[in-house]
Amino acid sequence: MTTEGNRLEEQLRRALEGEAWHGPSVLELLAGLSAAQAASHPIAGAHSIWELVLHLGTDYDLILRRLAGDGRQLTAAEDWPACPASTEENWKQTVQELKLLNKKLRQAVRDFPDERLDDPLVPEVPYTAYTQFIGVTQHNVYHAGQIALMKRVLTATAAA
Amino acid sequence: MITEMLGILEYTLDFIRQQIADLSDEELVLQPTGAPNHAAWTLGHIIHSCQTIAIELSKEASSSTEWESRFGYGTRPNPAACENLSKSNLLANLAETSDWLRATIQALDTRFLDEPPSEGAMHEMFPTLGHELMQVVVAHTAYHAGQLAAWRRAIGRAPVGVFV
Repeated sequence: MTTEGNRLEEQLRRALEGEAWHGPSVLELLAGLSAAQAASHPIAGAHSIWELVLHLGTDYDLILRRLAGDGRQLTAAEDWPACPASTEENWKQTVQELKLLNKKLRQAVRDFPDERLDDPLVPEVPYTAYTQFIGVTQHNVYHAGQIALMKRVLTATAAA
Repeated sequence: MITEMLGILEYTLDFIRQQIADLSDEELVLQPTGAPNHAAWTLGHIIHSCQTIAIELSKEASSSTEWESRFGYGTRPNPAACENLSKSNLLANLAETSDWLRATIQALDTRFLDEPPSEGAMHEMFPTLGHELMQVVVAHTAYHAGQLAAWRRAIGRAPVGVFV
């Protein structure tokens, strides 16, 4: 694997799994959260943590789709999928799917040829492959920041 | 890498500016339940991290700034830290610091991106300077942009902007 490929892949790993300098990773933040907590809306009008996790998976999947040559944009329903029933089993499955998509995307980034990093993944999207790959990390970490704050609000509200 | 990284930094900083554009100085330090990291501290913290990386890259003698004790790693928002810091002051400092960081990164010999970081703690954590820059410039800024957007909702303001 090239240095660039390694850097891009490593950002995706740190953003989801940990050892990140920026703060807690998504999985570190999700640790210990129940399905009920994940489905709740600790900040009125804002997305739940569960909705954010599904949305992160959609973003991973979008890039995988583009890597397969599919240039369709996401529909609103694809971008923010509806949450399943808030059972512990469904919550575990949602988190598991996120891990699997992250793993698939990291493998695809590792396999991606360096010489194509400056080209768009699909003609319909003007961004370079490099921007798309680092953009996934940027998007992932942005929502991790939101999850971190929502988790704190959940804890503080429960303690009050 | 440099072009993409700087583009993403600029995008995130623009988003951050949007989050506070309609807020007063008094609102910038609101701390709703469970969300103590208010906007003034978040901006100060981002300014500090940009300064830190610019100092490391430019190898300036100064290893700390006046912002470190107020907004550095491990600090918490408190009234003293944000004293005399208005929104206009924070935004002016953010503009100045991000210009400095951008110029420093653009002037960087790209061969160094594949070398280990020179700074001690970063050397331990990252195999190359390029890995470090991605974490500090891209990920750290985006993480706090997310916190800021959530904090804005927690103080009862409507969302502004869509992040990527």
